Amino acid sequence: MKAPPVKPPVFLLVLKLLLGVSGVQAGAEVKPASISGFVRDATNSEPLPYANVYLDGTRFGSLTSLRGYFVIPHLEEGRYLFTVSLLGYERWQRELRLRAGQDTVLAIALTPVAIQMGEVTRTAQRERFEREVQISTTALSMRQLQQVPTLAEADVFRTLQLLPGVVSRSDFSSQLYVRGGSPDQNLVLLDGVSVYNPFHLGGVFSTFNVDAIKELEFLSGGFPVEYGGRLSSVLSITNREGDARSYGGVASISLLSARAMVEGPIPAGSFLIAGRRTYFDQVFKKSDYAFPYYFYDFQGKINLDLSHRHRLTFSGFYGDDVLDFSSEAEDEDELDVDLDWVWGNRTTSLNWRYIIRPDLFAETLLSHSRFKNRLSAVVSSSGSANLALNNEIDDYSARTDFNYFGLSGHTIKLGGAYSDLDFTYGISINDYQLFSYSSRPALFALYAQDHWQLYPRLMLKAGARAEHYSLGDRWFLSPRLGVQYQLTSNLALKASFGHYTQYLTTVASGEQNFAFMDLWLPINASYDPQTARHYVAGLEWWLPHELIFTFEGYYKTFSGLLDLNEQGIASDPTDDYFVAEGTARGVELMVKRQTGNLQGWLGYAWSRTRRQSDGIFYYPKYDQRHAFHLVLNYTLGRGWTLGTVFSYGSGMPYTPMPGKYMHYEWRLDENALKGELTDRPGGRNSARYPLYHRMDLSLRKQGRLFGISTSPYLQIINLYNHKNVFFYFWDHDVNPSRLTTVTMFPLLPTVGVDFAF
Amino acid sequence: MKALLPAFILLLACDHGPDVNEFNYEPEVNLFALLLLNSQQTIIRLEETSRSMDPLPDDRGIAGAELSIQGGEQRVAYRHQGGGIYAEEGEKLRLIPGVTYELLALLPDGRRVEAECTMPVPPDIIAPAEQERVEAYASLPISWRGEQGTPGYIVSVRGITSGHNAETKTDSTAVDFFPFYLAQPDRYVLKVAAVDRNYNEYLRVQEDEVPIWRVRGGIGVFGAMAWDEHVIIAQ
Repeated sequence: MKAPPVKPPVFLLVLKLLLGVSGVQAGAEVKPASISGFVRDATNSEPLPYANVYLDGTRFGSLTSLRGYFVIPHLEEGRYLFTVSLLGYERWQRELRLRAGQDTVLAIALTPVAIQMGEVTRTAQRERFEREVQISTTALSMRQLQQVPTLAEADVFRTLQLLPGVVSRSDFSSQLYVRGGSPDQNLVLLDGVSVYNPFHLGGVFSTFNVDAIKELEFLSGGFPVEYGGRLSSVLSITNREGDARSYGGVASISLLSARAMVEGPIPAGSFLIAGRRTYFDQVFKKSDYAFPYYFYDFQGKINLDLSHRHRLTFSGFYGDDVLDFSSEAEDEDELDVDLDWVWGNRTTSLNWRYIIRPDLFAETLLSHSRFKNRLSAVVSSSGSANLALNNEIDDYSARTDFNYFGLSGHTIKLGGAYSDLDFTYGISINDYQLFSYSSRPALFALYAQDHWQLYPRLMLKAGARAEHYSLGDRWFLSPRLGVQYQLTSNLALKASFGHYTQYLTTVASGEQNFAFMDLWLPINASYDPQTARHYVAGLEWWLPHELIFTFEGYYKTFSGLLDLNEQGIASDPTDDYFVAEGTARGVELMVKRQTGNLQGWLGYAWSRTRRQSDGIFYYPKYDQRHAFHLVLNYTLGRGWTLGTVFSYGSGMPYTPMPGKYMHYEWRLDENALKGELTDRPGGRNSARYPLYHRMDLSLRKQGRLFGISTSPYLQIINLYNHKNVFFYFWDHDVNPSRLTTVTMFPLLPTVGVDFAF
Repeated sequence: MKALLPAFILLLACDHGPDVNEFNYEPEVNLFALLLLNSQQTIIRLEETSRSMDPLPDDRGIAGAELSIQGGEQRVAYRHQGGGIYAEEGEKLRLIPGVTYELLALLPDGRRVEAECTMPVPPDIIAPAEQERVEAYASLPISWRGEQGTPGYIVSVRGITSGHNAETKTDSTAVDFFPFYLAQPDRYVLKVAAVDRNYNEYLRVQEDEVPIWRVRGGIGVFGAMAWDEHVIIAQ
């Protein structure tokens, strides 16, 4: 039965007019044929991105998308040998006979073959190198994340901190300072949904359970039009879809937490559920050393293939930190305290993927992301005070993307996004509201982009994003451009430019030594949104012995950067923030190898970040001039793997306290003058901490125990126990005053074991 | 690759920014001068700051400075009383709301310290009323009338019998006391003080890394304060 003709959407007709293209559908005497479909792993049906699909002996070919989708349009009638290849999988070939106007849809399952770990990613990376404009982009798989030694267990943010261009302020924080940007300038997406506080334990650990992650993509600059609302980087995490063929799972236990993941088929689809929980609170429950804190997170995904054109994916993430503490006063001077503090993220989303035509792919995402921070404290002595604090961010979003492959040499993306953001903050004592704040801005964006193979050696990715911000009813336009020129088959020159706008800010702007959590605020109508421009240029060079060398230089300008003025007058919206300008520049070099027995990377970054506020220049606390990271993973044989990380960085700025003075204050309540010996600050961030360096080690043994795949591991953080400086403070209670140094992680050995079944 | 090496060395040679450490600091003049309208009192301390690592001297005061304050038609000289305390010897300075006062201190070593401040208009407490009975250990809304443009207020309470005291700062003309401010039944003296810009900023940013000191030739403050007070009964 012949399928009814599908009318081209209006925007395609507009596109054709704009681009002056004809003959794609209407008006052509001979209707071309096409081949499209999905490429999946035969063992678990996970989509395989960046597989090479091509017709032997022709110039026709394509790459699969992140969803495993491909399309080869504009084919003439005839016989072709169709091939799909991806290193790590058996080559898939089939002879196809295409008739004029025929759309051939294939569901391809590739069978894995035994290879060294990581080679799949390498090949995918090579394919992307040759076919996509990619700059300042790092892709990491679950396996790569698990190989890097980190505290207690594999961690997304800790691994990203080892990339050139990413600065870590301290061992205690997994926040990312990307190319001179503060952590609130990073867009963190989990299956396309914004996560506002992606940390546990005040930033020590990230909220993402690596067991569930399929791949992450980290863009440190020049990111394309589908991303907006942040100035410095995008971290897009894609969770696994779950095994559609058979049931299975993994379980792990580390010194930090117990984790489990199960996956399997359901009718017309698959599911995956993963969770973890820390257990210190349970271990010490009966002891004298109660540890009344724990965190947990759960994430799940259900995929339903309604037909070969329609797929629905429901995914959710639920994670909380809980501090439940109570103490009874032992004498009259003390207070009874009962503290109940819960904070965490919830994300839920429904994704509808619709293949309108083989050359037109649509994806719609409805999502809700919530961060909630709820504290209840009852303090009592003779009377009692009940302090309640409630902060909540609710983000209700919808977005639709259209990807069109119907114009030869072009991949066109059109999309729109809408977010309704609801911020509420409140503090009350004994049900008396001391402070309340609420704001409900809306963000609307339209974007368009063309990835254009202009010449065989030259690719362009050009687009623009128009955004409307409801507070102040303002429109902003953000152009984006990326270029890649293939100098030789192994060497490409790259450049990109982008303009970015951010409408949200956080109370902590990255200048604090420690930020327990990000408290987000929308920028009110009295202020311009924060903006940044990225200028990036570099090269990627594929060297012998599977080495990849990348070099990038960047220059960024920032304007309208906002620092909350905590002393601002509540009734005056024009003094809520201090406004700063800034620049960041730097160069980054990286040599990496992702195949063979020895894998890892060596990265170096030179950077210089400056801010200007009220005419005064200063270096922000995360301005690190030199940073060097060596990440190595060596397969020793017989299931043993040795991993090491060495980090070396120049000292970061801090404000010294070179003097002390008596700070007097007239106590109105006591009618008396009181003095306190106080630090006299030097210039803002005018001193630097000593050099930072640290070496971590991990040893893992892969084996089987009672028929179950087991992988016990030992990790040692700060192998030679170097005392890296976290901060200094002066103790003026002694005379002469004493300078105390607070250091970061000492030598920390941890053990754990992973099970797979 | 040969071209990359010199570029790399050049980058290494780039500046690290200013290299200030905890120890290269020269002591400064620390001025604390506050004009209290209600008591017609001028409090002055003139001291030397210290290096953080140095022992704190018993006497930090700067003796022998020629210190005067000029306000309205009047110029009053202050003499060192010991320990950095300066006080009027003869004529007292008349403190009047709205008047701008100029302080000048010429130190024996030639250093010069200058500052100005304007005496604020005292606020007028609206609620609670004088001798009003309020609930102990409960939130207490307090409001007052203030002169437009007053930069900030200090609100304090002190139990007459218990001595229990608390203080808060605001830029509004209303504030809610925390329940524990009136932690027990007692008669309390409630004060609301208007402060000038200098003293307001001195208090606001005292813990900031970039303090605001509107004193030329030194650090510290020359400020002014004027208050209203009520007695309230917490039950």
